Amino acid sequence: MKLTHKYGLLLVVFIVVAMGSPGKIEAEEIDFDNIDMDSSAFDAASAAFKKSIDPYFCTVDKITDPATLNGLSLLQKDLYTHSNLVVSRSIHDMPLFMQTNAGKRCDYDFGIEIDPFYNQTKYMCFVGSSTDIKSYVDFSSTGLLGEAASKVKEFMSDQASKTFNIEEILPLFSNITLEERRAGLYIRLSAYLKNWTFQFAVPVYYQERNFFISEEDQKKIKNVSFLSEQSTGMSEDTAQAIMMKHIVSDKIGLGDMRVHLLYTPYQDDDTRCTVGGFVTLPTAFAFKNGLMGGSFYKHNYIPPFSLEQAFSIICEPDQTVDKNIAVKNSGINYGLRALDHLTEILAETSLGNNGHVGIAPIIECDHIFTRCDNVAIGLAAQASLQGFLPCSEKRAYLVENVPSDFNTRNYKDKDLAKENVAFLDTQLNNILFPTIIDTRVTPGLIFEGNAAFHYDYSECLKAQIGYDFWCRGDESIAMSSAVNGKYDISASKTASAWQQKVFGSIETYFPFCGGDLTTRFGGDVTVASKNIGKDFTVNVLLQLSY
Amino acid sequence: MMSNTYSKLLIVMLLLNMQLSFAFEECAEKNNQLLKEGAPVEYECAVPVEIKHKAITIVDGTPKASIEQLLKLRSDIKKLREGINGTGLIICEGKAYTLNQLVIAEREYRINEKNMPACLNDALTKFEEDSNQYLAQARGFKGVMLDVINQWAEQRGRLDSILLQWGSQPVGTEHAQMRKMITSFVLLDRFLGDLTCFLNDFRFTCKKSTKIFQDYWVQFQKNRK
Repeated sequence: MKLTHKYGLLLVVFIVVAMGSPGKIEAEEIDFDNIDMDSSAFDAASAAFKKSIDPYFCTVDKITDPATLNGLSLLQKDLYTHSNLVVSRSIHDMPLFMQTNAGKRCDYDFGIEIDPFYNQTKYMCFVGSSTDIKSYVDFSSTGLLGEAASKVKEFMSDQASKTFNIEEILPLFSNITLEERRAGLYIRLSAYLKNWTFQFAVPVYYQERNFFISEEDQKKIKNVSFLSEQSTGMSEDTAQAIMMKHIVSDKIGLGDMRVHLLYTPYQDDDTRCTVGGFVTLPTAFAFKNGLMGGSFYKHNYIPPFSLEQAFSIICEPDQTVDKNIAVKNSGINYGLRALDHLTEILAETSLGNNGHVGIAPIIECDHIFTRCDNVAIGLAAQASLQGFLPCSEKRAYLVENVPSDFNTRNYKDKDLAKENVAFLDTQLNNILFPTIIDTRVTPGLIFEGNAAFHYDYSECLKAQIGYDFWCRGDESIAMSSAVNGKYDISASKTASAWQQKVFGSIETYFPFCGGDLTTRFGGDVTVASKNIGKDFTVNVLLQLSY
Repeated sequence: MMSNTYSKLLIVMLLLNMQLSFAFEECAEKNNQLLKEGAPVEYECAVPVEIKHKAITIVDGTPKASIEQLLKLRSDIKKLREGINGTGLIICEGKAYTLNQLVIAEREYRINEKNMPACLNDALTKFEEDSNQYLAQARGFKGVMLDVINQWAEQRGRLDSILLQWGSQPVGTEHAQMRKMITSFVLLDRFLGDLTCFLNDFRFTCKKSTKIFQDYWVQFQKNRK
């Protein structure tokens, strides 16, 4: 009893002493305040610490730990929502170039025509009729970019996060549009033999596609603190020069060749009918790529860069300045390659119809319904239906996410760390780099019809104004069953599209060197469209007929 | 017998309490004295606080938050300021001083004004040598670390700290800029006080790194004995 009492009192004393001890933190076993870290202790501790760090496990741990980055949910999100090509109309299909005027020039044997032209589409359609990139790349706050940005914000101080207003920054990029410009010469050779007309036409032109941010949005982006010249250390001119090589795709070369064979079975003073067909041959090739912008071709190259490398900045015990610079450069290369890949998918396109042979029947009719002195007024109409032979095209595909692949892994197992990093690397690559696969594609049928009122004065002046309708059906994609389930095929299909244009021209004829010289100024403009951008064309015709 | 035991225990308790109160009084006195002398920072930081910055969870447990590195720098700073066991002393006018002594000497004009820059230069060079390794460790993550320092400064009410300006200098120019900013021993002392306070708080916030170090250190001390 006495003993118990005595021990009880001792316990009280110990508690009092322990509670009264100043400067101690209960959870700590050692007194950090009084550790004298001399050189030998430091070297030993440093060596032991370095030995305990496994860069692969550290990487996996930092990415997957819910208390840290909690990045697994991010890696299951998509960056791209689609991977289809954007719809564009062939130069041959422009209404003024569709007009063959067959049969009208039966007085001649031969004609050469050179049309300088300029065609511009200010807003190409990414998905359906949407002209903003947000329909193609997910810029929403719940998408990959939105959530990644929110996560970055989480890892900032209260002060820094106030200036990092991601809700305002992302929409600036989500309004990026795609523009196309084509300028060159449309060259046409014609041969006339009685009621038959043969024509060979080929465009030689410069084609450029680029991403575009409005002036207003550019100003706003310049005002974003972390994108400013001061933060990036890059002048505006340098940034623009770098971007030109990554967001602009341009080339100069020869387009597809179109060969017409037409027969005019009926022709009198007022009416002319022509029937026949044309073949579009895949002769397109570029003389030179990347004149002002970058040179692109669709491929699956991914620069060597892994998450383990990225996290080596914090996880590598012997990280040096040189290694840091190397990681930074690899990261920049990787990011720019991802941007290039987007440009390849959307802006890189051939000068022709991607290697497809097109075959079409065509019918043309022209009727003068009123004549008065030297003036004749008539209506010319034309219709064609073009089908294409299938051929192999390089198409981009999004890899389907399988949540179970993520959820069944043990990220806490150090022995699996290397394998887990490889898995996470693959997921990141799948997000940023849609896979390019050679695919057998059959483009949809193209129907084109146009009609124009024309006013002829004394066979030396002609003016016309007309309406054109162009439409293209759904394409068909053939994928092998081996890869069918792995990729999102529907996201890669290019939608059907239609376009309505009005067009007009003024022509004059002069006698020239024993023949006739025709000059024409004309153009067209889109008045309505679906799933294809609104473009306009201006052209000047110079035709010499003998 | 019982009364004897109680008396002994009572004496022990009284002695302990007296010792503690003396310790507290001594500490408070020293604190007041230093507050008057213009070097209060570390005493405001006696109790570590958790820096509310999630980026620390990224570096926690990695070589970017190695506790031994941090403790080494803190020890070196302490030597510079207090001159433990005759180390870290600054030679000024042929005499060896601790930084704390130089702060007082500066205030009392006991050092020739002409010799001050050379003495300060000596102190700054010593600090640069001590901090080089720590700065090298922070490279590649400096932007984040600066943001962490910002958050710390806000929590500690030290938004005017030279530490913030020092951290915001471009990589490799920190020392040169520090020499422009620190023009007296008082400023150097305040800067080192802030840095010590930050290192303590950073260590306190890095739970994983602390645990790794704790486990190692306990074993290391046992082996040493």
